[in-house]
Amino acid sequence: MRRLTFALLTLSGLTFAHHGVASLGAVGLEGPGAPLESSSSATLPEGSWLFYTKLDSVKWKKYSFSEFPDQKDRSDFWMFGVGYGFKPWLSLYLFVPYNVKKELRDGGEKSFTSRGFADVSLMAVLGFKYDRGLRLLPKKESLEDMMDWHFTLYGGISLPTGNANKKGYQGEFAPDMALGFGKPTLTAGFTATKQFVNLPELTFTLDTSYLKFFEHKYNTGDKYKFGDEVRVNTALSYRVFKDVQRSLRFDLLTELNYLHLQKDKENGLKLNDSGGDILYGVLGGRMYYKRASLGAGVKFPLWKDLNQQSQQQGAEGKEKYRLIMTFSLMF
Amino acid sequence: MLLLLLILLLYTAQAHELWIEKEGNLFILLYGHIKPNRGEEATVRYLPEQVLSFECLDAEGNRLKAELIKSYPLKLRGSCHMVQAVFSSGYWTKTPDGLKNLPKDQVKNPIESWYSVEIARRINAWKPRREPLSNDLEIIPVESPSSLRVGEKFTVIAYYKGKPLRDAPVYHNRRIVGSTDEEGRINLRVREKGIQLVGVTVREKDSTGKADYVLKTFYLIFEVER
Repeated sequence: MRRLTFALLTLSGLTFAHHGVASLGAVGLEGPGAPLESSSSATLPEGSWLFYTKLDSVKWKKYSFSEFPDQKDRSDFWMFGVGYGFKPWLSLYLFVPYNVKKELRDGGEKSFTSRGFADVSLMAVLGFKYDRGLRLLPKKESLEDMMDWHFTLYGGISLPTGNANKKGYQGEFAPDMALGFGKPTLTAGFTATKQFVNLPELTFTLDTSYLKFFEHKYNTGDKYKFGDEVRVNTALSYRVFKDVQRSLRFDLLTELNYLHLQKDKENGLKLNDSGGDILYGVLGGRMYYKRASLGAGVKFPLWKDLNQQSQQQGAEGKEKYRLIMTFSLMF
Repeated sequence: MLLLLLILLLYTAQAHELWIEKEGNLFILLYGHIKPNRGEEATVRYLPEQVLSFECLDAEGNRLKAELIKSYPLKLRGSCHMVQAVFSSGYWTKTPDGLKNLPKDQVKNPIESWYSVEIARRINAWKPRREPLSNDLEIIPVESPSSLRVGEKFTVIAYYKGKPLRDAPVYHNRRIVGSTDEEGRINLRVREKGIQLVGVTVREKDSTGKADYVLKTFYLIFEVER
């Protein structure tokens, strides 16, 4: 009841590929919609808490085991988060990921699973808007204010709490199967969101971000640096149903997510079978009930240009699909 | 919780609205649904005695001479910067048998009762100001309404007893769009041409003993032509 007469649900989405990007969104029964993967430009109302869960379940494409005896099978990236609105224009979040990565080994005869908590991350979001000039988000906004252009700048840092030295199958060095990156990673991003005045059921979102990784020296003596990431996401959400009496709303969502991955480096040398460009499509929906929100969707690569593509089984762009589910609760 | 209660009160008060239409120098007082939903009546016939006042005002709120035409619907003819009407549908009491248009001492088993007062102020020419015109409930625009176009936002300030009214739900053309901030302000947007009706409701203690409270609603009315 802080920024709108109607209770607004503020929702946080979080993408977590093999790396991680936080995203944020807010919505009310009549307010702007929130995408699944992209960040919208909402902040948490001052004094409000948000609890958040997301699952990004990836099924990897598999190829001939005679050519690739070891292949990624599936990965489940869980994310648990809590956020707090310190000011109407400043929200802080803590995210704790839990990863399950399963691969098939030795021609598919054996399997290996790496699971556990990964690197926690802290995220700060600064919200502002264009309302007869750029200004920080005020404490209260009407539904009509919500149709202004809204923006956020966000930044975060992860802490190397996950086990970066977790060994792979039979103790092999496998950074992509480890649970942490060994070093903090930095995220910086910008979002813009617009709910259309003439068609308030429709909300457009633009989200760009940069994720910076640092080289880590593993217990084996190897040095590894994951390639930095650039994301440019756009999303449209369309409110197809609302019931004010029951505080119920349902949105359909579609997104285009562009991802640029730099090559990873091992012992200072770029790995030619890493990195590339991928364009994903997302189709999904989001249901809101009172102060809870449940979102679900499918994400799949529409186009890709990967370096040494045939060697990148189990990397972004080589998914069969990603199933995305989120649940959040604000109070 | 208080805000939820006010929203419910606003919905109650919103059952019918009071507004003033303009035809040249003739101002017509109407009651009913300014933007009727399917199946709703646009206007509801009222009794002339339910209109406690219907006045022609200058931009400062001073009364001007005008001709009152007492046939239904009530009309006022004059050169008015503003026109203001005060209307009361009387006492209302909720009972196990339904809602009665009677004070609580005239019904069996009263559950909840109120006295309804509605004030409609139509602005035809506005002199920008930051102070209320009265010591009662009212809404004033910050900008001149005549300069507004479809799609533009505008700001209003709600006052009650001479002070900004904070955290009050505000509706605009039958949609609750938010609540006032600490300075009594809220931003609204012109969605369509024609009459704009902005409403706010407060609850006062009833001193007569005939009702639990007085439900007072103020409507700010103006037209956008472009």
